[in-house]
Amino acid sequence: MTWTVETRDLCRIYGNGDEVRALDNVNLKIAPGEFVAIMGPSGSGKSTLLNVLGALDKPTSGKVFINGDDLSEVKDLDSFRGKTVGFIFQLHNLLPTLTSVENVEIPMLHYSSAKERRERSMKLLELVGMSHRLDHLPGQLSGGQRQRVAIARALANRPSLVLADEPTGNLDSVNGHELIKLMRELNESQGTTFILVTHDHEVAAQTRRVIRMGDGKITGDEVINSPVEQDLKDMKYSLIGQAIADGDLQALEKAGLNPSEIKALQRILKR
Amino acid sequence: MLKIILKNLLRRKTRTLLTVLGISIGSAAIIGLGTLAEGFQAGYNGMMSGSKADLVLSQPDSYDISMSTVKEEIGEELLALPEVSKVSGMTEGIVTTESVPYFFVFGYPEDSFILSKFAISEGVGFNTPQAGSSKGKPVLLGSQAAESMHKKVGDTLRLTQNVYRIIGIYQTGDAFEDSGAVLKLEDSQALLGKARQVSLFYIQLKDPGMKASFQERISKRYPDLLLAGTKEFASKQGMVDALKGTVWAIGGMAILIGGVGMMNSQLMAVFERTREIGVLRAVGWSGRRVLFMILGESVLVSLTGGLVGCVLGWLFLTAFASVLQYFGGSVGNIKLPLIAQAFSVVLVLGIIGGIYPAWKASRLQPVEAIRYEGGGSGGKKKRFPFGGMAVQSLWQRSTRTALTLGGIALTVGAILSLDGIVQGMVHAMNQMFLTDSEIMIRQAGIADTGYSAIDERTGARISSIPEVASITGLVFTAVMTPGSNGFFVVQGYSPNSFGIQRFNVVEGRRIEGNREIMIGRMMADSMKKQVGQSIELGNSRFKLVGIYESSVSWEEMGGVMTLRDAQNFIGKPRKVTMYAVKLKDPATASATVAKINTELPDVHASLSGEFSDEMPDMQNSKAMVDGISIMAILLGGLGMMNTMLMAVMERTREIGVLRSMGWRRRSVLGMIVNESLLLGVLGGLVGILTGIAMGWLFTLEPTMGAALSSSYTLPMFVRSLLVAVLLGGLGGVYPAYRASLQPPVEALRYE
Repeated sequence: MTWTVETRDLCRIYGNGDEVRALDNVNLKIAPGEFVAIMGPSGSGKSTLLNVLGALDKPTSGKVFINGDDLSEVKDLDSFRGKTVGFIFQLHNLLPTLTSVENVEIPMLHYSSAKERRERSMKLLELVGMSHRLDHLPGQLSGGQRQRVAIARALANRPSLVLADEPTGNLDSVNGHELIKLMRELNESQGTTFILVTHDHEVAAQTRRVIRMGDGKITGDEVINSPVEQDLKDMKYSLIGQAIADGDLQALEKAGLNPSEIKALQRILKR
Repeated sequence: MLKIILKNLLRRKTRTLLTVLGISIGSAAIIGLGTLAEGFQAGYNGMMSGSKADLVLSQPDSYDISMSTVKEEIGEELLALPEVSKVSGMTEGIVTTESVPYFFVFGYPEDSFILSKFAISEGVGFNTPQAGSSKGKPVLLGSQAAESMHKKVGDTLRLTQNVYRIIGIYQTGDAFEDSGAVLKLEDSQALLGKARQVSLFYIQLKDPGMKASFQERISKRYPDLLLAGTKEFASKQGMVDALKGTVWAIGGMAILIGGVGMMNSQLMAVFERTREIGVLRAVGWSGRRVLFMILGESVLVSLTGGLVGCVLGWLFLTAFASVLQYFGGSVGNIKLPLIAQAFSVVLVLGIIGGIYPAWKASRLQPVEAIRYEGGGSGGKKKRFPFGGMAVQSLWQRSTRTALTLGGIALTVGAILSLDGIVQGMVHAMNQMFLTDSEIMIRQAGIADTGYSAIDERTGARISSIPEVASITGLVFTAVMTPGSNGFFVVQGYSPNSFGIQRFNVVEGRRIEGNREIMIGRMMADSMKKQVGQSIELGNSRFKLVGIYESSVSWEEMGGVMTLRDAQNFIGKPRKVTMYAVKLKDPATASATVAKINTELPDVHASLSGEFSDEMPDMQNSKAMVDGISIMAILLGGLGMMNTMLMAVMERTREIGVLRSMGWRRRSVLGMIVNESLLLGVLGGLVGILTGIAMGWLFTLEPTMGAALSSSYTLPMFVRSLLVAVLLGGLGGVYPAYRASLQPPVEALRYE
């Protein structure tokens, strides 16, 4: 099969004498449609890996294949970035002078007509639940809303791979959870591969696979979360989850749950 | 504090450098031009104080010594007066030589007591047997002139069309005299067309105590002449005032453009550091302390600019020393007060340019400042109803856009207004000549039309050329209006010449004889004179017989008298300034021009349509305007590049994002260039309006303003727009290029 991402002995070394091995022989395979978190302490090479995968940075040695294509042989990296990869940054990095619709149109500027751009942009904003904020400037949006626009922008050219660097870094946990949930939904409905770098265990716990890094090496790689487990975890952030955490039995009984069911749920959510 | 200020400035080296350069040009202009003006003053002072005379007798209201005329025979009468010990006439004029366009010539009688100050270092003086036996008319050459023209005793010296033999080299210590030449009085009178006339008399009294009684005697006996002490006389030269005015006009413009650049740059520095300032406030800095920090930065930058400007000014004077020394513009004349002046101007510039940004910084709310994310409008601004990225970016970063526009507009405006005025002068001249004649003639090899003098015998020869139908001689000069600082343009026409028919007399009649004058409507109004009254000019009386209207503004600000009166008035009997020629067949015009120029080498003929353009005055004015334009473009370009550099730096991360979204380098470059071109076009349009407004402001200037009128042509507007777009484009391209080169990873990490 063709891997969406495949790296072979990937190295990225900074500096000359006092060299820093930001990536040290990284071998990685990610299949189409995966939803992956990369975790690790600061300086472990997560962001460098993301930059190299997105062709923003070049490896010192080793190879990167995206959808089977060797990046070192791709002539037009600009158009590769434009069409195959979407980026989401920690700080939304929307252009402050443009509206939501216009921001989402930016990546499409060289690849489609004005009418197509506008239609696609509106559709994407609807997909991320921002259709009521089409003509707002970034300054008029909340942090979570800005990141939703940023996600729409990343999907503009139907990339096969979306790279997100600490996308929830500037959000509170509820908004952060919402954002990752949105990404997961998009991952499921559009089949787009998502790779996100994060510090946050709660965020990583929402994905399907967690890759751990340390000192430029991969130190762990595990598949987590069956769909049922995920549904239960999502419940923690739902109203029912809140009520269980608060011990609001009255509300739960009103919702039709009997005491034994409530106890079972409490047990699961405590894990 | 000083350490923080220094670090802040060094953090943005390119920007600081550009701002310093911008300011230094202004200060260099003040130093360079100010030194020229000082040198002029020093030249007159040296001439007068070196003479050892007590008093100077000259024509009142003359603009400059070279324009003053007094009858030579008065010298004998003066010598007969009981108080007088010695008298010497002197002529002064400016001519062209082989290599120098403006060259001072002085004429003294051979036995003049003044000549003793001309210390001969090589060769001999006039009163020697060797002088009598030299081949050709003798001339003494100043030491500086000799050095820069590489002349020695025995060489020849050509002044306009005449050749002289150098018999001696002298030194007096005065810049004018040492860079000029001395002729025998009668030779200089012939050269300058001032037969039996001198520019002034130097008078030495037997006893300085007799000054008061002598002064009384002179004012009774010669009411139309002006007696003054040497010092007093030196300080009264109109040329010095005119030059000082120019210094301030150019300096003022440089300061205006530089100040806007300064404010722009500091404002950007504040925006860029909003979050940082928030942090300073949060850790306990007071608003006042922030204010002083920002103000300190701009003052330090402007003082550095001042210093660099001094060096530039010095370099300018050194580089052009060979030309400038003729006006006393030597490095030695850079005086401390002038430097102090330049620095105080620059300091004011720094404070004015820094105060608004500093105030703005000090008023930032710490909480908001810390949250500030740079560049954007924070949602406070409305969007411009239409237009793409470039329009929105300019519209929403309104303060910066306004300042940049201001900078471009001032640059373009300054150039356009000066251009307009020169064009206006050419236009006025053309209006005066074109309708009447096919060919215009002036003296060849002169520095300024004001010095042109063609002998009437030459006129007779011109009119005997078979193609010529008729000629009109005219005299053309300017005097100061009595009692005010204004100019009065005097024209002399023979009452029966075809040239005088041009004047549209609306009151009274045309002049018919000597001692009559007709004047322009504006002048009549400003002097409050009516037909029938008399007018005093240079202490001669004329009867006002008519008032005319003219579309040429300086004709409105002057008058017309008979050719004879005008010749006497300027002390050049039987000489005219120009000839206008009518041909039997206009088709022969070019051939006749060529014929006159080859047969009569003393004069220079041109087709009427080209005459104004070929006039040395116009050429000089154009050269000056070109010089100022280059300075303005330099200043404006620096400011523009600075702003665009900041705009691009501020958006480095934005550019990184665009690159990571698949934008090509070209596209990023295109976006920035688009924006700066748009800014350029807008700036050009605003600049054209500014230029027209500035042109109008010039006419309010008290001494010459009323004689100026601007005239604009389509090519001038197109050129202004081009300059603005070029400023915008060039200012934008370099920063954009720099930004597009940055690897996206680094651009994204930029703070």
